[in-house]
Amino acid sequence: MFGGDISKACFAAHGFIGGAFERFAPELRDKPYVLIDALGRVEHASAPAQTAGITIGMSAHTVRSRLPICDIRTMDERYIAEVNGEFFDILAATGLPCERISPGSGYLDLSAVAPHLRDVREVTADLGRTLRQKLGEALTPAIGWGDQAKFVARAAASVAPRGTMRLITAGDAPAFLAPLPITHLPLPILTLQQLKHLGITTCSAFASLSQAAVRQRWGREGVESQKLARGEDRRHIRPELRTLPSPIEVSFDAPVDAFDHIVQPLSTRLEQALAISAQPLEGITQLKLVAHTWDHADYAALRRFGDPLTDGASLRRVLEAELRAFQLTSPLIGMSATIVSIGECELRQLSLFDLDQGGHTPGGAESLSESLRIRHAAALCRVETLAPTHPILERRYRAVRWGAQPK
Amino acid sequence: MTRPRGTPTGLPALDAITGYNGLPVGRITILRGHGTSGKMALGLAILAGLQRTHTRPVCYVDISGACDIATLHARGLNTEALILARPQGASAAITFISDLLKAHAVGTILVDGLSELLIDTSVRVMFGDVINHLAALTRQSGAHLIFTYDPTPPGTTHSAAFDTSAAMGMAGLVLACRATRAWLDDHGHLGLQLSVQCTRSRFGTPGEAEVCLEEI
Repeated sequence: MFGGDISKACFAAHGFIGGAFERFAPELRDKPYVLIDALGRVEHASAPAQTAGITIGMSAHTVRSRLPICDIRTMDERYIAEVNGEFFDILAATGLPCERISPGSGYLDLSAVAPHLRDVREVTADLGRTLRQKLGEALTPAIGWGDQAKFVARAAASVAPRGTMRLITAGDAPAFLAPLPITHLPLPILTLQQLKHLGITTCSAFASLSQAAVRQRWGREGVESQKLARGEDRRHIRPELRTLPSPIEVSFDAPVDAFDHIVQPLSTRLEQALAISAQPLEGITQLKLVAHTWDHADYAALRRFGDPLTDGASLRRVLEAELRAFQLTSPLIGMSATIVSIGECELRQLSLFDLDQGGHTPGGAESLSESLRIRHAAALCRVETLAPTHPILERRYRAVRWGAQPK
Repeated sequence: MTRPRGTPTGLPALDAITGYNGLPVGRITILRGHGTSGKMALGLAILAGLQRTHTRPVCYVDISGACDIATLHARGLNTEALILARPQGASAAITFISDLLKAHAVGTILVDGLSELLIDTSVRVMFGDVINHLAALTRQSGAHLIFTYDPTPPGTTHSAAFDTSAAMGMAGLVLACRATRAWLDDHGHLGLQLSVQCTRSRFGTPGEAEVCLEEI
């Protein structure tokens, strides 16, 4: 379909941050603990903490009130970066093109050494063993392989358990992708929720929608994601180095202090630059901003984004927030923005339904109730119809709590 | 301040006085009135209207557990597509409403009622924070959060009215209800005529509307 011997592997160490931290603090293994970032938000929660209802993004205060026995540690970003560096050094030592996705997760282009399925098993197993020996059991990656599509390789790695590999050929890709939940697709959370409410919960259901309808409702992102859901992925593995757009300079004839007048031209030009240098479903992961003020002062900031910026609205929000954070003392005469790095959009995971969950019941209220029932079984009720025409109103229907024991 | 969008409720007379052409999206709405003033009937009629016209599901939080299912049917609600919750206690109710809003998947939540939340002392003392939190979540989720509020429910003290001033301050819309006429038709269905006054709307001219509600 796409021609040539293409062989793409994805190495993903599940729970990388936790695994790296447990190397440093092995006494916390199997205990409820969380790692918080500089802003005091949970960046990683151990499995026992997650079972107790602790989620990523929660504040340390909430964690304390929900689970007092939870050990709250500050994440040492430098240490995590070091371990991540070790991980990618091992992959890069192969001399093959390697692309980072996130900490402990990246693609490797095996086309030169293992173009066919029969060669892949040996090469990837070898690499997996090396990673386990050097980084430890907790950071052993799951390996996914797709002979054509990066997305297939990544999805395969995400469903494979730690220390195993899942190899999917182009012929098997549609059957492999079909039952996967749409949360594997890099779509915005709002779109995922809309799809779920429409009863579209699997990749096959999304793939079978009319492309025109998808474009009309969810735009370019939707169409690109639909192609991924069909197993069509023309993206190549791109090593770290790539040509990034040169800095974008905006200068004003007269000093400006209205944010709108600054943000609008800058975000428009950033979007144009992004459209030229990034591939579909990629966005800005690092952005450097420098503001020049009337009193000859320069304010600079380097922002990293876990969630790559792809659209104008998010760009404008970020630019506005940064300008506010500068706390400028005088009006601006110019501003420059440099895209420092571009990265692939993260695969999303909604907290409302699990990755492994298969069939979802169509119908918004029913499926939402189902998701909430885990925590609120005692509060949620289902309506049972007894006798809809009974002369006594109270005997027509009955509300039964989901948490109630059957009599 | 940007003007929130409005969602038509299916009651044109009511929509005309709110200033949003319906209920404000992402804001708290309070239906205020004494016992038997028709605020609950109005709340259910609005919920039924929004359930019919919107794709996002609607939820009814019955804190007192007193509402009969047949009444929900009679007011036009499809109970099969309704999230019905009867949390036990005010804290459980607030946690449930928060989780529901955080899911960003619900369109409208009708909570019956604000006074029941204030029965719990721990909620009452920090009610300002609670309502601020709920208002922020409502804004983020783009849902409608509707509370019914009886200013002097039996068994409560006058301090309850004082406590709810925080809620009144956070609400985008406050509607005061008063039943002006009630009748039974030939099939025994109850009809209600309400006088609804918009006592607070950040973007509307306060006005009064006559709303007729009939059971199905």
